Amino acid sequence: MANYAIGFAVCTEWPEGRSTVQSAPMMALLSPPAFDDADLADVVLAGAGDRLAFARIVGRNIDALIRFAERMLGSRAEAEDVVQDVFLRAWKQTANWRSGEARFSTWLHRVAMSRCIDRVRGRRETSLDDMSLLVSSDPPPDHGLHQQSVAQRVQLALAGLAERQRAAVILCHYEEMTNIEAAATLEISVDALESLLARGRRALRAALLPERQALIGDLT
Amino acid sequence: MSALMSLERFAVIVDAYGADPRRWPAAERDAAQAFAAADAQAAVLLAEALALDAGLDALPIPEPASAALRRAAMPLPVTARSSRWQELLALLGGWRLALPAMAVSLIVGINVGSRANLGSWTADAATRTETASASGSNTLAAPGFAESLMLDLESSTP
Repeated sequence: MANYAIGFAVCTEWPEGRSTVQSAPMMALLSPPAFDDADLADVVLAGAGDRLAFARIVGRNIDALIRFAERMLGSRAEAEDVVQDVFLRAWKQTANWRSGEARFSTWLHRVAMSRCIDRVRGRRETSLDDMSLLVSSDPPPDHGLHQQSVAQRVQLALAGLAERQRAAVILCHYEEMTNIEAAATLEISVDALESLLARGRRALRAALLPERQALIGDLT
Repeated sequence: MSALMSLERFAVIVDAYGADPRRWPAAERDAAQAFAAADAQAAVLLAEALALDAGLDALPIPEPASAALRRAAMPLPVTARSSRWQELLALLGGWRLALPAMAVSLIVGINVGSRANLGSWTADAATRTETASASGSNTLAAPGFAESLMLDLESSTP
C-alpha cells in the first residue's frame, strides 16, 4: 500500500496539468485498489485522453454531486457552477490519478465539498447573518404549503450548521455513504466523523424542536 | 446490555447515524439491531432519532443534472486543426528539423524569386523606355499605382 505513490489522503490540492506524469495510467493498472472502484477503468482511459470514458465518469457521478452541492449551498445555480468546476478539475486529474487510496467518486465529493465551503465562507464575508441566501427560493411545485414550510425550516436549520457538520450530515443521511467513505471524503477518522454527526444532529434537533410535533404528525 | 453492544455505544450510533439501521456502521449493524429489539431504553433513543430523520427527509430531493449541465461538465474537444499541425510537424521531424528547413526554403525562395522578377522587370522597363522615346512621352519606366495616380492628376490639370 505504501508504494502507491502520492496518497490521496495527503493531497487536498492536486497539481494542475495533465501531462506531467505520462506513466500514470499504467501505474494505476499496476496498483491494485483495496476496494472496488466503478470509475477506475474509465479514469485510466480518460487519463490517456479518452473523452468517452470521461463522459461515463460524469454520467455515474454528476447526479450525486449536484444533490450534494445543492444541499450544501441551498442554490441550484451555484451548485451547477461547483459541479462544472469539479469535473474540469477531474479531467485534469485523471492522468495523474493513483488508485488504492480512495475511490474516484470520493475524491470528486471532496473537491465539491471544498468548493462549497469556499463559497459559503465567501458569502459569510459578504453578509455575516444573511442565512436566507442558503435557503432555496424555489420549492418544488408538488409539495403542499405546509410541507414547503417544513422543508424551508429544515433547510434553514441545515444552513445554520458549521460547514463540515453539514457536509457530514448530507453525506451520511442524504447520500447514504458508509461511515468509511464519508470519513475519507472529510479526511477524518470514523470516530471524528461520529462526533461531527452527533453535534450536527443535536444542533438540528434543537433548531427543529418547534416542528417536531408537526413532523411526527405528518409522517406517522 | 448485550454482550456485543452496550447502551452507551448504541446511543452513540443512533445519535450519529439516526434511526435507520441501513446508515449504521456495517460491522456493528447486526449487534445494534439485536440490542434495539431487546432493550427498552433503545426504543426511546430510536424514537427521538426517528423524529429528526423524518424532519431531514422533509427536504425535497434535488433534481437530477440537466442535459445542459452534463454537456457543460465535459471537457472541450481537442481541435482537429491542432492535431493535424502536430502530425505535420511530426512528419517534418519536429521543430528542431522543421525550423532550419523552413528558413533555408525561405532564403532560396526569396533569392530565386527576386532574380526572376528583376529579369522580367528590367526587360519590361527597357521595352517601355523604347516605346516612350518613340512616342515622345517622358515616362521612363513602368509606373506604380501612386505614380499612375499622379500622372492622371497632372494630365487632368489645365
